[in-house]
Amino acid sequence: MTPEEVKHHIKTYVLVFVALAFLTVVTVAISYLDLSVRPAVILALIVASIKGSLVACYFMHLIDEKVTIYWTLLATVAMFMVLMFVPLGTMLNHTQM
Amino acid sequence: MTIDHHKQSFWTKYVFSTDHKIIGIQYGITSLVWLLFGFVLMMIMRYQLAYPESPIPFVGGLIGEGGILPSEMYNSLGAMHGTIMIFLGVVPLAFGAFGNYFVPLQIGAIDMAFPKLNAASYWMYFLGSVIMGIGFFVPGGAANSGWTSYPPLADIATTGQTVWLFGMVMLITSSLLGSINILATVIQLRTEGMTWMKLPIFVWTQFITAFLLLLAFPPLEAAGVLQLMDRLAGTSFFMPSGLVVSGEVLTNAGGGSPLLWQHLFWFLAHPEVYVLILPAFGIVTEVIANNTRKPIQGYKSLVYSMVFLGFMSFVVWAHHMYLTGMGTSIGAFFQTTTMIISIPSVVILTALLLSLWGGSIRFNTPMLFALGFLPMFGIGGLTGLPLGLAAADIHLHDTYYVIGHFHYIVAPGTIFALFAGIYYWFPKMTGKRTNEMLGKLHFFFSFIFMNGVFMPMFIQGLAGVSRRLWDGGEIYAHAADVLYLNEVMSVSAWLLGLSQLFFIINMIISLKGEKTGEANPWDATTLDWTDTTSPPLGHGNFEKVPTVYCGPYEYSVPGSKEDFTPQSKKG
Amino acid sequence: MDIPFTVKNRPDTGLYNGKLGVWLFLASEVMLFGGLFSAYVFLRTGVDSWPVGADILNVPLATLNTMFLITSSVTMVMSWASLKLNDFKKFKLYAGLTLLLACLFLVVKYFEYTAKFDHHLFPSTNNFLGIYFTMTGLHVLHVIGGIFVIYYYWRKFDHNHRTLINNIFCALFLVAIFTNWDEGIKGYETTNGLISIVLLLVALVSSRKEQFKLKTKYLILGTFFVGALGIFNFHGTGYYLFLFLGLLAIADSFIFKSNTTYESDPEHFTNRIEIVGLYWHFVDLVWIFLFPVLYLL
Ligand code: HEM
Ligand SMILES: [Cu+2]
Repeated sequence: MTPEEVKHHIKTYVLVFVALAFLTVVTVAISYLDLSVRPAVILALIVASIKGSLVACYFMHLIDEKVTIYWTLLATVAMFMVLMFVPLGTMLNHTQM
Repeated sequence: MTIDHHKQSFWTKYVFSTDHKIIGIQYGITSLVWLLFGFVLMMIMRYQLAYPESPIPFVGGLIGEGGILPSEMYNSLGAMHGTIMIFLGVVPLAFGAFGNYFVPLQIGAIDMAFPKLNAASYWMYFLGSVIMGIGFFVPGGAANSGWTSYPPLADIATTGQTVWLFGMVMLITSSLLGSINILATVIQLRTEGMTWMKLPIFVWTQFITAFLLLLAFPPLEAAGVLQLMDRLAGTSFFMPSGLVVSGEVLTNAGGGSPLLWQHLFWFLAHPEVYVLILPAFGIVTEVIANNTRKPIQGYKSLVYSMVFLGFMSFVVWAHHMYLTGMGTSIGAFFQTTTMIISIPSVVILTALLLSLWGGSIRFNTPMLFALGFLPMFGIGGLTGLPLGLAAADIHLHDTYYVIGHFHYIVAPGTIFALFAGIYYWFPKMTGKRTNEMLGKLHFFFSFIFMNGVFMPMFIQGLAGVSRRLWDGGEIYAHAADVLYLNEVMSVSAWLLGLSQLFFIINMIISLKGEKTGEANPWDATTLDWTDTTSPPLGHGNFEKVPTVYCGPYEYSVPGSKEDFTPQSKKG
Repeated sequence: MDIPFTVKNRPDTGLYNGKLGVWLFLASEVMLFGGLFSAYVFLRTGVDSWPVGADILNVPLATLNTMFLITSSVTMVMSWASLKLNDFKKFKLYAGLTLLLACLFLVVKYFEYTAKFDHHLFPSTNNFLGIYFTMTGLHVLHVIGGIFVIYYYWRKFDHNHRTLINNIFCALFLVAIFTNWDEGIKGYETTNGLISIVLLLVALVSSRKEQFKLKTKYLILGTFFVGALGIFNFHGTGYYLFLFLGLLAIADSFIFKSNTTYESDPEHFTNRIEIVGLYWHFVDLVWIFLFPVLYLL
């Protein structure tokens, strides 16, 4: 990485920081709106996901990584999703599905 | 390239070593000791099952009043037998010992990617295993809620359970460090020319195993933390409301779910069963290719099957939970995935069987064990199918049939494969040969008695005898017809124990023997045999780091002078 | 013989070992927290009523904490970028800021926890609090781990830094002693307490003098032993704090050596910081999800 590139990166970091701070305020603000559970959860998760992706993409440089790491993370995300949602399926009984 | 020869003290050389070979041997010895210990626990249990409530010979004095095994202690022994065999015995031996020692050698690496982490992982395992052992000495004895530690029972069990949880957390952390190391090593340290499709199957199996451990173990760690909180901080993650224990309603907050534990546990424990079997596939493949003197049939289909198996093993776990009242749709999902996962297992077994076809087979000890593995794994796998279908499982769940099923895979299956590995690589690790006669006796007796122990379990299970019964089913009318089998199984178990003397004596004699000086006594093709001395050089493994040109199993290549072509041979 | 690719990238994967290693580790961490999040969802959907986090927990404090962590994440990445620009001074500044922010996070967390305990809200009170304490507790452990690691790479001392650190420890010691005053120093421990204070004051003063600078650590050791003698009749939390700080201070001044990787191999050092950064951003990322899930929903 050349010094110019690094300096360019630093600019991005500052921008990302501003975005993160702003989004934090946004989530808190939304929570004061007293929405019902479903939209509140959806909104909060959307905002958190945006923040999370910003951190992952820019601070952790995932936006420009090597395939090995992408594959590893892809497998991880897949298993994570299974772990999060499949157990819930066993709570449903057949009339609900 | 130079090799370090500086003097090291005994401690840095053999105890706090960062050399993957020493660490592999440390893993190997520790886990063999635990395997033996776990086996002894089981032999004690088998006495109680064969002759309920009669004094146990030899160890009776240690056990209780009049040498009779109390029922609480039976539960402890059962739980600890399972835990020890799986987490302290087979996995550390298959993954920790064999993986550590041979993965770097087979891919042409001078060590693991993170040698210090490697040592840390062994010492974590050691500490975890000591903690597990301490469990036996706390009030109420060792953990007694089964190796599965189902709450709410485990939440309210005696102190041993807390110790068990601490031990598990250590063991899990150790496995995580180990798996990171293997993965990084295989990805980063393959030598020049060692492309993915030139990796020996053994390396592939270790690689996939490491992935399973990496992704499946952490949820159990989370679950372990939650159960610790339940036990120590009084939370009710796994405790439903209004639980009544010994006639009194518990005062905890309630609202938790025992099923949550089962999900998190089996999310690990199903992939874990593939952790138990994959390294076995790897070893057997190496041994079979070497002793049939011909290439493995369908290298690529083996690799793809194993990768597929790895992925699928994450989505079948609820087949252990059919009787928990889940809905039919999700039940159908898990039945389907379970049937699908048996396909790659069949592919693997078929490929290995076909590999025998037309080979000029050398029936040496490792090969006998590898050949013994095949039908045993076949029986274990086929008996899994009825369990995977909810309708049949309603009858079979929690009976001796299940015990028979998985023991066929793990005991005459994986353990045989591990013995094959020990006999096969013993010359590599020591530079000496094992005694063939003793080895063959070891195999034949083990083979007979293994089946003597586990085959009757299917019969008992089909008759409906539950597992985890202290008296072996005496009080049940439906068990009456098959009760005589208890004695058959127990006697077989003790004889199986005696047969292991052949192994122990063989090891002792062989270790005392002379070095043969041959580097490659089996005429094998992989780098561990062809490019290192036996035993390999202390630090750095290779005189000169090899470059790879050939596939892993180029035996009897038409037109070549010798019947094996080393991977590092040009052209 | 050295293991290949510890510093340089392997050509075909484009990675050095440590970076791959830390990503694998993070993958397992994803599954660890995944297990807990999954437990949270499972428990919550399994019951009819579940408290709203904001009614029980302190949202403003948590927002502040979120800001601390986000900021520390930026300073962390900046410290790495400074190394890339070969500016070691800036690195120390930014890494130091990261440490400070991380410690502030812990301080806030401490007040949050104790406030809960004061209101008799414990993990056992209900499953919401249970999972709250478990998840945040595990996260706090990750923060503490991060602090140790960052500190390890940050602590490269010339004498002035050494003095600064020793002074900070002296000051913390003094705080620990004074907060303990009522519980024991006044009674049995008067002599020990007084001697400790005198030693510490001497330490504070002498560390300013050029010729004594390097000796300060012995005074700290002395303080610790004098204080530790109180162990037989004294058991307040503050006392344990004192012992804990003491051990840290001693370990820091006597056992650990300054990390010299930067001098011998700056690229290696930069890689290490990149790895630490990845871990630290992950800790931040977990909090980004914990915050709405526990506090807001
Ligand atoms: C070939 C395909 C396989 C199928 C379809 C299968 C199916 C099953 C099913 C459905 C159960 C649950 C039975 C019950 O509790 O009612 C079970 C139990 C078990 N299986 Fe398998 N299995 C297979 C292969 C394996 C392999 C390769 C292993 C590896 C060692 C294994 C180890 C176990 C263990 C340890 C248990 C018992 C766990 C316990 O309840 O303590 N199975 N199997
Ligand atoms: Cu299973």
